[in-house]
Amino acid sequence: MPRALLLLALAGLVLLPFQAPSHITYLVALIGTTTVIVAGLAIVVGLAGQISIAQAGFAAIGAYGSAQLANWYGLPYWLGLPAAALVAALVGYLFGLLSLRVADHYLALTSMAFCAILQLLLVHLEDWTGGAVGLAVPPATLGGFTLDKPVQLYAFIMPCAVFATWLLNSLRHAKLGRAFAALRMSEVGAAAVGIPVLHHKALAFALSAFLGAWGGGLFALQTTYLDPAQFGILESVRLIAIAVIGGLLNPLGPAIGATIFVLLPEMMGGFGRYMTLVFSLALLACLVLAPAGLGGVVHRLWKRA
Amino acid sequence: MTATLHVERLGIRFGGLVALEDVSFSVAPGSIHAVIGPNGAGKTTLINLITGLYRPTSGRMLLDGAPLSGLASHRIAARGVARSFQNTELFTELTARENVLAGLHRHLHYGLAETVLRLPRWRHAEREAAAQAEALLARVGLADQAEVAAGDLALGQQRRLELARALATGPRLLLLDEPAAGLRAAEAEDLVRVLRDLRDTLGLAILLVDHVMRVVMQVSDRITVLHHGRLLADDLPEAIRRNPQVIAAYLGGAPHAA
Repeated sequence: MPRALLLLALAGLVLLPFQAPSHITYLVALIGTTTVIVAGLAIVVGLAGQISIAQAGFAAIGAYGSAQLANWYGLPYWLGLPAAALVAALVGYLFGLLSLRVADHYLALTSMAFCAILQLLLVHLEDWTGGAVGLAVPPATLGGFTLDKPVQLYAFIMPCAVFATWLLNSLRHAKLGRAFAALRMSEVGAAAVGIPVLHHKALAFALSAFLGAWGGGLFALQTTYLDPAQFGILESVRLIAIAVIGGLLNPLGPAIGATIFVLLPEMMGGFGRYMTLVFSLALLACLVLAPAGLGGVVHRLWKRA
Repeated sequence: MTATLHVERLGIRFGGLVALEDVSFSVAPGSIHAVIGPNGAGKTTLINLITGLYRPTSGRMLLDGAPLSGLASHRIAARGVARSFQNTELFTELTARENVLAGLHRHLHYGLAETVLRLPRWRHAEREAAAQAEALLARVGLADQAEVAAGDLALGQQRRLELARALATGPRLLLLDEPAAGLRAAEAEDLVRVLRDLRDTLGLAILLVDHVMRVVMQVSDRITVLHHGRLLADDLPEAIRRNPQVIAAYLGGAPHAA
């Protein structure tokens, strides 16, 4: 029973911080953060079929945005994070409108350029971002007491990850998700049934940017220090790899992909400097053997059971 | 009574190529109107113009008296113009049911928040949409295929699914691009029945582009003939059948038409 399994997993998530050492709690929370960011990609790349190599850029908007709103204006995190995410969503929408002029691979290249430009801005707008040196993230406060222990962050991050997964699941049974899927498979067909294609492409980018920025803000809280090097094209590509490995069309895909990408490097520390190679080969094998991602494999096993 | 669709001196050129020139005709409400003509006559171009995929270089189109020219495709669909495609433009990975639900897109009124929170508005709208989709699939004889991916359906079934999806949008005017092409005799008979049923029970105006003369002659209330992008004839089926110009253009002078 999938439903029972999911409930069991949820119960496990609730109990985990009481049992596990804080290092593990930190790692699982990192999986949660990654899940939120990658859930955005599942919408724009998976559902709507628009390749975006800009997700790290949107994460940067959320991370730097919420941190600086706290630094400059003392805005509490629970206000600053949504604010930064909304700004990212607006930027994402405007970026999506570009798809009127550039499509497919050119849109992917444009998103890559967008990410590169954002990273350059992070490095060079030193007064605003701290530049290449980086930026200290003030800890989040809630009603006078400070959230900085792994357990506290865990309690804040994991509901966000569950929500992002739930959002993906909900989209499958709603007009918005069907409109995204429709424009992925046939733009002419979508327009012919009255779905405004450009608006929905832009919406997909907006939602994706919103989740990316939200996850970026969570990431900032976890690392407590932001470095522009964390938000480049390579990170965007890594996020896409996570989305693909997890399964682009499975609501659990981002969580599955994030789990593997966070835990495997931890467990493969023994490979030392060859870890990247081993990791890449594992990815390649996964792509060849399970093109629908691991989410697809899980789905097949469930169906068989 | 104003025509459902009124096409007036419509023309389009692609660079130096004149695809349609000076074409005028009207589709009466609740009628089946066929557009025929040899390959390259401009039939599909005409449908693409009416649905906003192309912009006309001259002339205009009126739907119930209101101009359509210059509107984007999805806005024309919102005005009540639905279509099928010669090579089908289904959402192949979605199930038949989901394809029809996508056709209901404009009639579903709820937001993302209501979806995520599973509020009654979402629940009711989706439940009603599911019932409508069920009825539409039954109408085109695909009730048993509701859960099959559109891409896995047979060609004839895909055509019917596209029809159901078009009907889901709630059209006043239905444009069908070669719905009978490649159908077996029995399937063509089914198609004739379905088209008449749509005209008579829903009062739809149907503009039909096709080569299959048996279907066209059986089902049409009026026929427009295009030849090299120009209007050759616009008349009742019987008159078209006997029109010497049509016979010459369509069959290269051969005497038997049907």
